[in-house]
Amino acid sequence: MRNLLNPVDFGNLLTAAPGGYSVLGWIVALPLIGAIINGIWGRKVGRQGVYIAGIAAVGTSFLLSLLAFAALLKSGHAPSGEGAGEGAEAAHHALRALSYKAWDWFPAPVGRIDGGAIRVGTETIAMRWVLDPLSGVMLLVVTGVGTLIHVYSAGYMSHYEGYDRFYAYLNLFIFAMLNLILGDSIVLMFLGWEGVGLASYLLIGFWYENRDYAFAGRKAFIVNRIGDAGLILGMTIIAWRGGTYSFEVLRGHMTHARPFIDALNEHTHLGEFLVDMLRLGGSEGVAAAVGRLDFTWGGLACLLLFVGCAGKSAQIPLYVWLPDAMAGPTPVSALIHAATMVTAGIYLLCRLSFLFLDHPTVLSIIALTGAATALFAATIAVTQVELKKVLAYSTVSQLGFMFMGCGVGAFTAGFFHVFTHAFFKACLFLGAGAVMHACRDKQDIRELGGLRKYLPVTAFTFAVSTAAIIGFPGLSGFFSKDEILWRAFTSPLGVGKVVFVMGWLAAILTAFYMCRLFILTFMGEGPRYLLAEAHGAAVDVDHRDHHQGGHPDGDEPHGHDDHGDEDHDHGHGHGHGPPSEHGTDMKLLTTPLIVLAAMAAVAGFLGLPYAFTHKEGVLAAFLEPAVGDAFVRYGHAVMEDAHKQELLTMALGVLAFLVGTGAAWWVYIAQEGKPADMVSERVPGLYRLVCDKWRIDELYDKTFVRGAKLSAGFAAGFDRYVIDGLVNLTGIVAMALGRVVKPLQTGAVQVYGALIGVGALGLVAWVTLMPAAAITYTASEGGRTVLQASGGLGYTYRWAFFDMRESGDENTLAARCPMDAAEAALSRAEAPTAETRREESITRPRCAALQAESPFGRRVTTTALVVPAGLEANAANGH
Amino acid sequence: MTLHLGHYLALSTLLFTIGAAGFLLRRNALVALMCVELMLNAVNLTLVAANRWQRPVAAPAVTDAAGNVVEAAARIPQTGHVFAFFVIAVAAAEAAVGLAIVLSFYRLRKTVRTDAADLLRG
Repeated sequence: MRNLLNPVDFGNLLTAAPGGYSVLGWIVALPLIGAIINGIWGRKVGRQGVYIAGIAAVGTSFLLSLLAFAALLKSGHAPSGEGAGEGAEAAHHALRALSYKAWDWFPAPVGRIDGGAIRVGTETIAMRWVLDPLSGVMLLVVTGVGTLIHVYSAGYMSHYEGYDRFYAYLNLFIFAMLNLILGDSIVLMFLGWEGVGLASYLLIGFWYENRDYAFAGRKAFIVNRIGDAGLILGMTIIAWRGGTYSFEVLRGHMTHARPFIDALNEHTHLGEFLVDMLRLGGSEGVAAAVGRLDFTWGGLACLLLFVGCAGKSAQIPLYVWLPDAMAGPTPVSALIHAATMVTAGIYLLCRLSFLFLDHPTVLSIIALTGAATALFAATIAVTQVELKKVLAYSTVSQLGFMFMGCGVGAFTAGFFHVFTHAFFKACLFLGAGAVMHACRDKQDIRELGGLRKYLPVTAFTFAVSTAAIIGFPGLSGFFSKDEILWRAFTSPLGVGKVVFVMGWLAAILTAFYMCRLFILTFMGEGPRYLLAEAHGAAVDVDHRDHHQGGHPDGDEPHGHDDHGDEDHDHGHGHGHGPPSEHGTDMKLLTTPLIVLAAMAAVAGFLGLPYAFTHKEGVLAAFLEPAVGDAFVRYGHAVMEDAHKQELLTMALGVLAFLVGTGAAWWVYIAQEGKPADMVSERVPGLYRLVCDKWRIDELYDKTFVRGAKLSAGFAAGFDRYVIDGLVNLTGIVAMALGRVVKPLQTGAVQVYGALIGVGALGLVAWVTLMPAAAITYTASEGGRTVLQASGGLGYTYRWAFFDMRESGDENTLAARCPMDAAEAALSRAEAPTAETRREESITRPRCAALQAESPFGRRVTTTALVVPAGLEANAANGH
Repeated sequence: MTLHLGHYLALSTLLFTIGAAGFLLRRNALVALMCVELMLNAVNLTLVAANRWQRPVAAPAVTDAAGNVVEAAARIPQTGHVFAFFVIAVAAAEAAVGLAIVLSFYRLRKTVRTDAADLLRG
């Protein structure tokens, strides 16, 4: 903790020692400080204070990130010194990296290989952040886009209450995201992973008064939990068989620690087990397919980690939460559900690329999943009518492209798309937000239109970003998407060509639906809802019936009343005039749009294709030491071959762009939307099915959700009736018994006293009336024995002595000194006496009989075996 | 006439019986408290009397520094007296608590009759 608070050494910022670069600590800590200020004192510091604190926290973090990135560039290819290992191999692969350890967190169990067996060791998990090329680029994207969106939110939230909560969550998200990308171990990354999940949940359900939005938040959280279950299992396998939680150390183990490599390459026998199960089930074909699966422990770990990534990054089958996540405020959709958090899955794949590259089967699964998601989500996007829904499915589709890239072994290409997508998709979402802000929260594109006249800046930036996403030659999306398609096409993996075709089709659809979105929103005469009003047509005033997304315009108290400095906004924005871009909050909205659009336009030049420059893209070259690439594994010849086809796939990419855009132009401009209506009339069934998102949500509802609810219902019923029943039963029994004895409790203390008295008297009576007799004796040397009778006050006693009976094995008092013999002896005895003490000379074990008579005339007889002193050892024990 | 243990026990029984009967039969809480005191004092009387008439106890043999066995004189233990003091101390505490309860009860119910105190009836 003390380390964290150390002052920043300004003289040394760019040449800091690689292991103690404290700027990293501040980069992570500042958003947390912002979250704490806004979360606790948000109401106190007021609207302006919240904006300033929130934006300053992230903005400063961004500036420090720029500084740290500069320091990283300056640090050169020097070995990082810590954890990277030794040897020539290690030196070659050594990353340039800066790190900072704040404190040791906790010791965690980890696998240790000891003579071929895996034992449990410990590894200390530290709060340690590492800046390497991969995390460096991601850091700039997260803090940079994050800052822009924080600025944008100041304009966007001006109409809403809860701005303090909003900024606290947003800052918390940035804090968690920075831990996710900078954390040096899987554990710290997981902390961030869950943290962004939490922030996402809180922000999706930001308007929790609306039941649907609260449900959307829960849906996102639960679907992510499913993925996280896989992630945790994968992490566990890596810690167990990879021997570490640290990314750096794991990389070292995978490079030159033979035992760990062997441990991860060991077979799980899970495949064989499944094969056996399937054979039993009679499905021979499936069994053969499963049998070919590469089920080493490492492969299983990769597969499980991919499940986690698929959950976070919304891939089939776990994509369903992302479209619903649009219930959150639009800046959240832009920041969390488009630009940063949802790319965490791809980020993790890149981080562990050295591990994934060893498992081509898993890579094929990833590539196919990505391609399927890209195509599937694109088909849905074509039919959606809400701005944010189209963009949401577009995001799912683009994430599919990124997974495609990673899956064909081109991790740098996948990450390049993360990088460019962050800009154009954030810009698109923010543009959609600006449209909604200006048009009374309308986001149904059938009601919008012609907005380029009213919102020129928004329209222009939206156009640039649309051009970028659809692959307009020269803009960022063109380069990143084409690189993925090219790498899929030339991939030595068997699935490469299939993936390419699916991706290419998805690219056509992308061009089509994005152009459709742009044309319907920004082209034409004017906003259709305004035209309708102008014509006096009594259209449905309550436009909320049309859409489920967006935010509750009417339910939220608008913020105009509590800040007078924005009263010039009243005429537009949420007012009832035509949409316009004047006023401070629209300025706050459009400035980030311009920056993002500019980045969307030029970001692609960091990855110019080899075909143009005859060298690797800048970004790819920079990432290379940190991110693996299949080319390195497959060798130079494959790469040479692949480069020959680069221009071909690029031409196909341009073709996809032309086809999609042309189709959209023909349908929505030349024919004014008639072909679209025709299609929906000709094949209404298919149209409805796609419009309903292939009814996947309904399928999940019918199967998993219903099953989960049934089992939850069963568990709840079991709890309510069986467990609670048992608990209540004990209560009922106690109450019934209580009712029986209740009359005894009179509450009158004197009755209790009387009962105590009666009880005491009864006890005394019992003791006195019941006759009692007992014999104790003391034996001395020479046979002198003193016997003592005890009975009670006023008793008289008779004594008798008789010979012990030999009765074989039975060694009890009743057998040795039987009662009948005692009675016989007593009948011959002398008269009773009040004396309790009696002296007798006994030289061999004999029986003593005592008859006691109580003062009330009742008699009782008892016997004892008397053993003289010195004979105890061999005498029969009858006492 | 010489007094012996029997006289004391008879007196003590009489006092205890009066106390017990008073405690059980009277409905005035103050009287009930006084009866409790009476019973306790009857017990005290028994303890002291029994202590006076008990059999002397032979002290255990003790050896002096030179190793000679010294026979200590027989003595009468004072256990009964000590017990009586304990009972007096406890009785004082009980009286204080009891009177406090009676006072509080009186403030609540404007009476000190014990049959008015039946909140714990089942």
